[in-house]
Amino acid sequence: MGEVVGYDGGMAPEIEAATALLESWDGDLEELAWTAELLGTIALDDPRAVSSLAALAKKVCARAGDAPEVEKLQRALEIAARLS
Amino acid sequence: MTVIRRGDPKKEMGVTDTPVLRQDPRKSAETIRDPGAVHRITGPAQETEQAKKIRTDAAVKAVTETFHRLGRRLETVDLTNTSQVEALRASVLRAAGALEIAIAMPEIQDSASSQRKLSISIGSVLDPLEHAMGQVAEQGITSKKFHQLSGLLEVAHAKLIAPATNLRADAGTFVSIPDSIEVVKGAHAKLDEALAKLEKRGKKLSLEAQAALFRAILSKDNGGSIISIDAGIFDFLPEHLSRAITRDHHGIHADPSGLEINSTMRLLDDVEKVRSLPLTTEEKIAYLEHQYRNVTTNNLGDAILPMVLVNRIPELVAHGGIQIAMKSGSTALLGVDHLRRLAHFEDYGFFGSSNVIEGRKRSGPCEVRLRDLIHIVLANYQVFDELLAKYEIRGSDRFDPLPPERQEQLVQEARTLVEKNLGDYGARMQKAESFKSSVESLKDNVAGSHDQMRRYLEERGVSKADLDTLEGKIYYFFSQKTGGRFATWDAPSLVHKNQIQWESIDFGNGKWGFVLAVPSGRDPSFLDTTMVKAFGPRFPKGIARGDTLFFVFNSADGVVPPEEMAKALAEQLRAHERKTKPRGASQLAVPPLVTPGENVISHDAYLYDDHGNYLWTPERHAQAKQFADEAYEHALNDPRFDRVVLMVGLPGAGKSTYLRTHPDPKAIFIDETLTTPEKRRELIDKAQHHHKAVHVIWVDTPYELCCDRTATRGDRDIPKAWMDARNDELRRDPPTNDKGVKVTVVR
Repeated sequence: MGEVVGYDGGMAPEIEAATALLESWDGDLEELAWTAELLGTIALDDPRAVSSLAALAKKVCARAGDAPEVEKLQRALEIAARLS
Repeated sequence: MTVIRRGDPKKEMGVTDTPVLRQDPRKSAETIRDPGAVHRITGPAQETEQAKKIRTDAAVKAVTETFHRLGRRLETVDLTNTSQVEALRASVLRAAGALEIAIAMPEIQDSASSQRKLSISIGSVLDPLEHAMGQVAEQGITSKKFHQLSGLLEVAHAKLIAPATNLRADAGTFVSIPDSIEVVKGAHAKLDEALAKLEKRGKKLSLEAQAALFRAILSKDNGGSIISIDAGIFDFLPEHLSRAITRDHHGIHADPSGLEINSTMRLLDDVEKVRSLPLTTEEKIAYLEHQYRNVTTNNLGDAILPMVLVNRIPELVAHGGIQIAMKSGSTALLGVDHLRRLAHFEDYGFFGSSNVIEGRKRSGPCEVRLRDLIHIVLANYQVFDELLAKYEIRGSDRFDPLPPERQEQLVQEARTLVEKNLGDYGARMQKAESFKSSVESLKDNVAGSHDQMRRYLEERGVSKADLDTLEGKIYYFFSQKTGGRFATWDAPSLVHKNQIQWESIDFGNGKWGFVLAVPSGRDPSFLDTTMVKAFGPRFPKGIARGDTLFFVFNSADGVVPPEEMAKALAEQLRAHERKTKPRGASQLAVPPLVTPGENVISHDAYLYDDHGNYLWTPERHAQAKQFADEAYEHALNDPRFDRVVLMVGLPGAGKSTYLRTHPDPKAIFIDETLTTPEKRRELIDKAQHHHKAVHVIWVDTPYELCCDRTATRGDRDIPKAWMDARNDELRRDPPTNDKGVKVTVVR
């Protein structure tokens, strides 16, 4: 069977945006909430990227302390990790 | 759904008028394995809130556990083993008993979360239950015990679907058009700020990632995303952002391959994608609810059903469909495939489809057939017609002009009435009948409206030559003052055989509106993009079959009076006729293949006569096949072509549509069904002999959809047996990647 049209093999847009936000995080909690939303939108096309993103997110969470946004992000990461 | 028919299941089960799931709940409770649950369920009359909660939880738990066990048993049961069949029977009774108790409890009837848990448990056994029913039927088992079991399973299947009636999603909140635009503009401004900030940090996002971030911002600020359904409300945004929050099939939201995929189908795609993920059912529901938390639209006709489905996401996820009422008080599961067919008929098959009527086969209890799907569509159109009259919306079913609170009222009413059509069989049939009556009475007035408009055009100086040019091609008529919008739209298409119909609507004070529409199965290709010149930049660049082309209601949209429009249309038609003259097989020994647009070989192309009619005889077919073979040889020797693309798929799959939207001047396209490896091999061998690369594109469209499309095409009749045979061939030996052949599947 051949390839199925629609899959381009590139990085999932949610992962791309979340990575950019996390890599350059400057303490803005709203951005963490966006990141949680992005990961909640399920990284279907590139589950392999989730593990490296998880490590990055953990570092950011450690810096962010116990803000509610951190909990949301951790929950989203758990789901994304299961999909990988 | 596989339905087993071996006489009256109730009689075979040894019960008369008491189906198995209608037993005395206390008796059923005795069969529940968890004695603690039974004890709690039969607790004292005066209860504290906590005691009630414990009792409710116990009842839900009993359902969850018994259904879990039933599901596992159904998956593993050996139906030839008598003791396993007995155990299965006991398991069904236990699950049914636990469910009966739970759904009778007022606390559960009032609790959406408890109902959701029950629904999920029920959903977990529907598939294995159906599988077991199928096994019983397939194995042709005749013993009395199996008869009893099959009857039991059938009754269980019907009854298990029922308790989901009141299950509703925490999603689908309608946001009026102005409010939704404000919300989206706010998120867009935030996105711009975020992108600027990221850019300062040296990060630049792709358009797709920008769209993802935009959705995230919207979701974060609104407790979930917002989606525009079947309406380009957010098209003021950059295209990639509008597409990210729109489920539509018009304009920039149309399928890029030209396939007939509408908003409901896009929603169902989302549902099916999420259903396939390795998440719990609750997580899947929560995810979809989050995506569809808020919805907006301006489109009454096409958006209300998907909005109702959004409201029933838990059922869709847990059961793979929604429950609807059927005749004799029964219920049936309207599965995702049913919903796709319904949606396709509504958008691409309904308008002008006199040949479909209502589908010939009638359904039995708990069954859903094409006829039932059509009844739902007609009943919904009747609802919309009544509401458009009530809300005084003329000319179209778009309700943008209403103030926000009226928009909300209208959508709420429409949803309630569509829900009623689904949940009340009698109401549905009555509405469908009303719609049919309305269409029938309007049909009688069509010719008069046409004559009236012809006189009007003559009086305003449209020449006889122009009117003669329109004759037989574009059927024009004045909009009738009575009758619902959808009925008014449909009735003329059942009277005339023209390719396009043009309805002129007089709004008074010199303001005119018009609706150009293509009835199902007609060919609108003679109108091309030069129409933009006549009617302004909003005129669509592509014209779809079976859909409305364009609504115009005021001069700002570029409207022109009917007399000017008639002249412009006549001119357009003449220009088209000068460009393209019909060609017949007798004129063409070998197709020219001189331009990139003509590098498509199909023996069907030689079966049209000089008037464009499809004419099949064994002799003509043999000759056409020979012409096609010669054309292929000719093309293989042409150095301009370096590859061969074999289009594979059933008639109606969308092969030709794909070709139109994926031109490739360096490829020779073979547009045939090519359902067997032998047919493909012959063409591949020839191509490889000429050192051409070979690419197979299999347009894998659901079989039923292909049948629906071919049934409404109108240019030829394809026997069902022929379609069945080709479908069997294709499923048995689908195209494979072998000997240097690349295969792409388009779904």
